[in-house]
Amino acid sequence: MKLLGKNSLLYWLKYPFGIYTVGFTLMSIWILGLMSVYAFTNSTNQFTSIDHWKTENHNQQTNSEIVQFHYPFTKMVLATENSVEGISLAFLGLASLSFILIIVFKILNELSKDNFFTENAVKNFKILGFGLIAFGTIHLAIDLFTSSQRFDLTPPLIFIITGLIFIFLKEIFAKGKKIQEENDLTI
Amino acid sequence: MKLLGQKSVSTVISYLFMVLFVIFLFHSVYQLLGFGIGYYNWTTSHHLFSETFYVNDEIDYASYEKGKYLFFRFKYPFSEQQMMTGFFTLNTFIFHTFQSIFFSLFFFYGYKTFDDLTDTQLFTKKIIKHLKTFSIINLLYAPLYFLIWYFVFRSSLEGGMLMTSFAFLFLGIILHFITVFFKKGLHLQSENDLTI
Repeated sequence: MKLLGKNSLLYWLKYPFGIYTVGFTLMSIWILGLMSVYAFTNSTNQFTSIDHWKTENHNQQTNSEIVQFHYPFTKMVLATENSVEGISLAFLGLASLSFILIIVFKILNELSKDNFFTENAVKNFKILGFGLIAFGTIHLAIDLFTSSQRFDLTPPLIFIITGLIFIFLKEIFAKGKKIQEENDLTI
Repeated sequence: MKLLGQKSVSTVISYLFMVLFVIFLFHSVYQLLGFGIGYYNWTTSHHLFSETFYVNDEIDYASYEKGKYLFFRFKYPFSEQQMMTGFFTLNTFIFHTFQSIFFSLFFFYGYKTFDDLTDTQLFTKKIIKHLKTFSIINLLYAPLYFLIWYFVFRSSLEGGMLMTSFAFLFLGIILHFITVFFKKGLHLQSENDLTI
């Protein structure tokens, strides 16, 4: 089966992927709005609530205050620790996922064309690459400023390495586009 | 900063992968030698490099009753630095051999791919061949890992293993797509060369 181009696997996959991207992004915008309101006012409402969770670790009970942001029309909630680190990392996580989904959808759209070495593909790979590096760096900065004693380096590092891979892909596509243009000019 | 071509970021990454490949290859060969010598010493009561490749039914950190289990401890050559230790079983041997062979191949094909990116001509048959093998190696990692864990260790899967397998599976899929990009590029390049 054809992977890229018209009537390929990606061509048909882009439709369910697009629907998922739109749904996820709209829900994320709602939650990001609630998070922003809560961050500035620090007050709860019918969509934002506070809960207390008890977790047991090595026979030691720890109480943590959790803030829950309710998704519209469902019983789903996004729960995170009620702290600057918890809320900012949840905000960054949602924003980065929405960003990735939107740009990947744009790339899928370009890859489902027969001539996929296009200006738009190069541009989107560049945005995705530098965007991932930026999100990884912000994640690392939040970790360093809020809990410099204990933090996990893996997620920001994965973001930065994946970003670098996409920048390499952008270069490959730029070369492909150049050959494509030369070809078109010759014809 | 140049990403592709001679004296570029690709050159630096290819050297880095080559160094990692050499380290992992040395590890694999040394480990195989260790298991071989350890097994020979244990079955024949010889003491060939027995300080470096220790195999016995007791070890200082474990308090099991003597004779119940067989342990091993391999040290790096000419040093007291411990390389690996654990139960000396066929399962341990299969698992460690699989891991070291996989990572040696991973870094070798990583090196080959980035080395191809330093060529003046980017879209070549050589890079497609290397990318194809690189993607197959990554795609095979998850099923082989699960098979070994399930049939050899007869144990349930853990979260960490799933994450590692997913990462390599995802990398394999991405590499497969990159191979297709290169095939298209090569096609365009050949058309161009034919027209000229």
